[in-house]
Amino acid sequence: MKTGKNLCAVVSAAVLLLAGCGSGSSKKGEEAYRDTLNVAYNAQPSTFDPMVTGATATAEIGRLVFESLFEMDSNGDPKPQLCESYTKSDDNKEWTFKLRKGIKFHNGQEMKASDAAASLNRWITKNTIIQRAIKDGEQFTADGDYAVSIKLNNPCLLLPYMIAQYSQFAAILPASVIEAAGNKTLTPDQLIGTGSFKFAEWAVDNYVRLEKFDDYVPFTSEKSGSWGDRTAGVKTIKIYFITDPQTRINGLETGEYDIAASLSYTDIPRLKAMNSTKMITENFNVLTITMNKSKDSIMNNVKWRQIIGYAVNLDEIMEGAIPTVGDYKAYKADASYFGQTSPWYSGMKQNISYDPGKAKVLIKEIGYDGTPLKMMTTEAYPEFYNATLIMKQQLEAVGLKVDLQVMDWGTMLTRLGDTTTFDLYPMNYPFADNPASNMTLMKTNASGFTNDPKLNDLMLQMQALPSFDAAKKFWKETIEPYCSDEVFIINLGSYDYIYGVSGKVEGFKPYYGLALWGVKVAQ
Amino acid sequence: MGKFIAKRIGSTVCTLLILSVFIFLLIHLTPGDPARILLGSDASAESVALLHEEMGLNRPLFQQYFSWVGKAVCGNLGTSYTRNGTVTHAINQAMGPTLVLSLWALLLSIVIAITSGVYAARRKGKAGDSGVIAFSLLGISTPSFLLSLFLVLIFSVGLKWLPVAGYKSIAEAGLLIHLRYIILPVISLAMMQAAVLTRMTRSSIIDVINNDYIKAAKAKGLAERAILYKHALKNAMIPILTTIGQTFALLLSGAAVVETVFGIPGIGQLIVSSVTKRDYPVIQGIVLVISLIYVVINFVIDLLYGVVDPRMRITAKQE
Repeated sequence: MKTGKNLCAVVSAAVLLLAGCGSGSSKKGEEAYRDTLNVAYNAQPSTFDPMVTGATATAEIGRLVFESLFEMDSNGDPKPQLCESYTKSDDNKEWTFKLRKGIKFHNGQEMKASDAAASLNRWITKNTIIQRAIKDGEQFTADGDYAVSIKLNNPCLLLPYMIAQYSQFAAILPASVIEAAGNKTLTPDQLIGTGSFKFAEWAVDNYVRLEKFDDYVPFTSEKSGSWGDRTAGVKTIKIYFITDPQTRINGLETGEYDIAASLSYTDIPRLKAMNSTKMITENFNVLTITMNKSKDSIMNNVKWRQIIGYAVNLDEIMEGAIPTVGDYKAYKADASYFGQTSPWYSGMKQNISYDPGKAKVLIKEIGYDGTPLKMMTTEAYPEFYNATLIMKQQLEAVGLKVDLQVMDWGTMLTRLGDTTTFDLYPMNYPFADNPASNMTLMKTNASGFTNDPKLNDLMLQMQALPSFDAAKKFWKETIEPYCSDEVFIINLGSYDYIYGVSGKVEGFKPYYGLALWGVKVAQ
Repeated sequence: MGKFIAKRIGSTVCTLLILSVFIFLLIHLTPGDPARILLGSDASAESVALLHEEMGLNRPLFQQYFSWVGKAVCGNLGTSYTRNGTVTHAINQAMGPTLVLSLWALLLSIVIAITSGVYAARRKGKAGDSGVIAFSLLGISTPSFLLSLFLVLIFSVGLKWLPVAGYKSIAEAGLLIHLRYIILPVISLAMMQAAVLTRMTRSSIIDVINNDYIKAAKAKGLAERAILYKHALKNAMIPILTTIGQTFALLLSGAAVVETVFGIPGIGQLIVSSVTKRDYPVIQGIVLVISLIYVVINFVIDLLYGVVDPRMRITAKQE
């Protein structure tokens, strides 16, 4: 018994000794703000090369290091960032971008037109959205030291939107880096941008460290969305890759992390109960059901897609897919193509919407032979899995048979390349707030995406319009109603991203994910 | 002895060769295309094909296998698809934290097991013995992730004594800071192994304690502690040593859950993320290295049998 007591005493003393070894406490009398911002993030990307992948993690972290010629303002419109101004021909085919002078890369070199042209040309080869607009081998060219231009075969009014998109974005790097990288993905030492943070270290599976770029000079004191003054508020940002949501919220509670991203909906009550933290939400993920419109699937037939459109009840699916915790409803069931905050939001009433009676009539009309619909899903994303479970019930309720195939994320991505293996699947699209960033319309390569001749023609007509306002009107009045009738995709609704933020953090306002410039942490 | 070692090395090479075929086929026949996973859902068929060529996945399977094995024999495990570096570098980086975590966990489990196993054997059938059996049952039946979460809730979230997650090496932060980060993962990982080892130690010592030489030692008037630790424990070591060997290999390969909960960048995390991304060279490399560790540990344990028990040396010599 005595030995037991002694052991307890030794263990307690050891734990207390270790507890005293903390490095987090700061000395009194130092400046009011801390040097380091610690963020717990949910996923580590395979690469930080912002042009090669549409991974959200790459885009969110990449935006701190790189900038583009245009960035989106808080209204969802592109505004010149690295370029000072631009001109375009009346037919929207010839574009010239005048660059800002004196912008420095992290390696100390000044940004010149040759860098911008090389970066934009690399971007064309990597980004499948831009390849739809620039597909005939057109290239950006340098006009002197501070202007780049491009002559296109087709009109492209939305080029600034494309350049300002968040995913697989048109980061500007030194031409020498692009030349050194060749066809390969950028290595960490090649992540040299003009952003207010330098890429300093990637401790794989642990964290990335970004350091303040002292030569960053904002061109304006205004900031709106991701446009404008992106000055660093701290000297160092450490983004820890913590895959377990429990660990993220635990670390937030103990003060190890200042911001915890992508928290679980079930943690909302705990987050609200914490005195020293606040919950910040952002509604930027759109949940969809995509159909395989290739010849290998019955979904190639518009009538089949309309059956699905009539059979599914968006409210029920979203309610099941995104749990409502207490009085907090984290979703908006809405079939519109863009979020309610987007200037492209139509809010139109869909012609094809939940009506099981109409679905049954169409099923009879089409002569359904009882072949099960192949619906694939994954448990890697609970919202996908939950949505498909409810959807399966709804489809069965109108008399369809469903073969629900559950697989891991990697297998599902691979299956997308084989159009014989599925008819429909769930997917989410972050950053979808204009036709240039909405993959469902712009991308034709992956199976299931749209390559409809009439839609292509309508998109071309929109690209030839004289102004963004005219394009928005055309979108709302002509294109979206056509897409809705053709049921190219079923938008189920949008849902929130939950951040837990320490009360010491100042100036954090997410904008399509982490927007950490200007963020400060009080001592 | 030399013959024995040569024989074991020969069988080790054969085992590894068979394992290499198995590992390779298992990984390559699992659904999921690394190129498509890397490029995302909207990748074009052309870009996927280009990446296949770059990764060498367009070659016949047997060619890929021989190319991999040929390089692996020379110590080159290939280049990771997702990590901008060689597989050897990725494994080296991740092996440090896992090795440290496993060694601490092994040390803790041995200390707990030997102390409590001997204690229980001495008090067989008494309250102390029942207490140790209950503790080991609890240890065996408590999953490491659950224990991890409890420990975090108590010591990190509740008492705020220790960090929730992360890893700092001794070289980077010094021993005390290192211990602050590693102590909870070590306890989470060690408890189950300590429980298994405790039961093994207890039953081995109880078996040995009834032998005549122990009775003779008692008759000679030797102190109980000396009898237990010098005579009984040494002779009971063979099954304990086998279990320790297996435990260490298990700790090395099975720390994935604890590493995930505590955000430790070790082999477990590496293998989980590599499987998710279908990073074939890394998965193959890790499985091969872990298999090699298993084989080497068993080999070393076989050699240690001779050190612990002289009868084994004699048998080996006679063979």
